[in-house]
Amino acid sequence: MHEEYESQGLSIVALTNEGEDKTVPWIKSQGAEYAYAYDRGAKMQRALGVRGIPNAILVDATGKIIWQGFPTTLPVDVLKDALKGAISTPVYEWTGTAKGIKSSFLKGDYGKALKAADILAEKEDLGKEIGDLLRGIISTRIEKIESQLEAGDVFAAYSSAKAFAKKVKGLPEAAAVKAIVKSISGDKVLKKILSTQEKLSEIKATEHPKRKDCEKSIDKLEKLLKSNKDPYTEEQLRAQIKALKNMRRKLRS
Amino acid sequence: MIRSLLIAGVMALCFSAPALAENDNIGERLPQANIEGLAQSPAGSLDELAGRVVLIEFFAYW
Repeated sequence: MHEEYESQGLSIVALTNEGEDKTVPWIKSQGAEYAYAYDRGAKMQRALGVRGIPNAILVDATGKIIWQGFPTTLPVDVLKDALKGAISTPVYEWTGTAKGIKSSFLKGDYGKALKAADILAEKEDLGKEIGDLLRGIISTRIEKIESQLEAGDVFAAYSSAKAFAKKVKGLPEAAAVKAIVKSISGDKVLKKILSTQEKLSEIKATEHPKRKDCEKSIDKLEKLLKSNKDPYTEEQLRAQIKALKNMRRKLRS
Repeated sequence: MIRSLLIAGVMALCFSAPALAENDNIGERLPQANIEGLAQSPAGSLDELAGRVVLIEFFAYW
């Protein structure tokens, strides 16, 4: 079944959080021929909230997660639908005239890659195909940033927009991304929310090895809560306070 | 028979709890994580699989 779909644009990658020392001999002993890679420290697995193994996720051509579950339960129609968006010449086959586009794309310079693709499109179909793919990736990213902002996650929207603006430099799409940044930094209320959420995210990233570390952070969060008027941020602050209180209970002084 | 029932039971335990959390990932982008050492693939890295539909399977062996 896999071979049939692979020719239509599906790639399967198995991820393990074990090291090479165990994985390579195991792959050999099984005679496994599928692609595999290492998810060091199970970072990807944890970020996705995967607790039971085996578990799989399906990512569409633009990099969006469209399905997650027990591997054998992937619905064929979901897969077939996603394959309609797959590119016929994969990135690793962008050679010759498309080599420069590949290099710009892998460096994250979508602006340069897309301009080169549009030039190539005048001569080769591949240029148009690459251009369509890049536009799809870019619009998926912008949609995501807009939905973060709409949901109230101002900090995530702002930081993604700032980082993404660099990637789409020189493109008309850059204006839309910059407009998002400006709509936040130019708005008093949003700026206040941004600052609170930024502080919250710093606390989230801080390690709390001792009770007093938890207490210090809880204190900071309660102060933030007092001056905050935004319901989404309030929910986030309260959740973090609750998590830290739980943590404090489990820690020794 | 008993073995397959056991396996089914264990699977139900593993997968009933995170169902909600997993749905939260739909529509999201793949998280930033350094996936290294892609082997047995024509692609040099996961980034080179952009444009293809990618099924990522988390596996373990024991």
